[in-house]
Amino acid sequence: MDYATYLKKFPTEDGRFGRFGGAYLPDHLIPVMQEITDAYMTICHSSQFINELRRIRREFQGRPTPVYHCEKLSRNIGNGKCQIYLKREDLNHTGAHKLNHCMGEGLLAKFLGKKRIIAETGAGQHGVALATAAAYFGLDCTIYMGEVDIQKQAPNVARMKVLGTKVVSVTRGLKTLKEAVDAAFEDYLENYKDTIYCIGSAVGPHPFPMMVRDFQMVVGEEARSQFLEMTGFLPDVVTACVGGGSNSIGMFLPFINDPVEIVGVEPMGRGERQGRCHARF
Amino acid sequence: MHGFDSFMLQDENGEPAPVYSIASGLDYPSVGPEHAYLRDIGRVKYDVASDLEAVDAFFKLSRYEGIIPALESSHALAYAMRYAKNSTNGGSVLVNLSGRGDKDLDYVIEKYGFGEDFKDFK
Repeated sequence: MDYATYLKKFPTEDGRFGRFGGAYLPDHLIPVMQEITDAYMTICHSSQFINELRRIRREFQGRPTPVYHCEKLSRNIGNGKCQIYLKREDLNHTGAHKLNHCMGEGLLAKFLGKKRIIAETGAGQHGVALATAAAYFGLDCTIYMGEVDIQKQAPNVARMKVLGTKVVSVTRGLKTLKEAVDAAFEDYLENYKDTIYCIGSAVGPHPFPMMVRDFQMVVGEEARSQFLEMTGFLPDVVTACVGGGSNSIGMFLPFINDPVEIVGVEPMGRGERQGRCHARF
Repeated sequence: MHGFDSFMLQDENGEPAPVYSIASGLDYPSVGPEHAYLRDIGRVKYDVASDLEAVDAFFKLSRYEGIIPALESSHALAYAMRYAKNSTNGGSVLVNLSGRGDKDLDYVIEKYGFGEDFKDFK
């Protein structure tokens, strides 16, 4: 199946990728989510939205980010023949790929006339990216973050505050990303009328995984053509880390119909016992 | 969990299991549904990297190339380095370096110093 056909086919109208995906929501949120889905499906094809997002990516985010050949690193690994290349999303404004979907989500909030955007954050990269989008678009912003992560990621907490965002410490459970998602979702249930929940990864109920994927595919699309132009061929392997899976899904899909091995890398932690190791597959 | 069907780490009661990684951005017990699907149809392969492999990749990219990667991205780089090490006839790996590592410096230095234990540099 070629890339364009795949994108038309997945997700299905009810947000499914095979037996995965879908949307399990409280009754009063079902029409709200449907409204966002319908609006997104119209807006994302409008030339006004597409052109504005292109301009933002070029002038504000500094895209396209380069592909870089790690000659010295490659030379010093194994027999030195295999070549490692990087897609430099670390050079995207705010220092990570997260801004790609945050600017898209922020622009969508503007098009929908919403006044406030909210989210959870783990390492703080999504929070900083959304706080940046909020400042750019003139929207109110609240970020939920686990107490443990707040301690680990003090500089990102400071960045969000400087950007004018309210950071709420989540102290339940393990005080990390999962609990922060729960807290942000509860806020959204109460405030959905003037607020959009800008999820931090390609997870959650439909249409979030689709929207985040669509906004992140710029990474793989750029990388594929840059690599081809640089080397004259396609890479043997394309790889990315997978937490929720936003940077990786954006990187992978444009290669889906190519003779390229695609590998998602999950954290094994300290490799000890259940709960210390989250290799989910 | 969180309103969609996917793979999830569970404890014995079927609740989302506690997760741990050196990289906060990878601390999530489930995964996006499209990844679950791509794994199901066999189009994408999923592998793992440990904390130590990621930290090794973190220091090597910093010293060899002058790029300090995020600990999250260091996992993907660690896989690429393992692939390159095992490769006998060349080839190429393209890694998405999803973020920069400035945010991780304090944490890495506190736990691993300045990379004294990761110095097989030529």
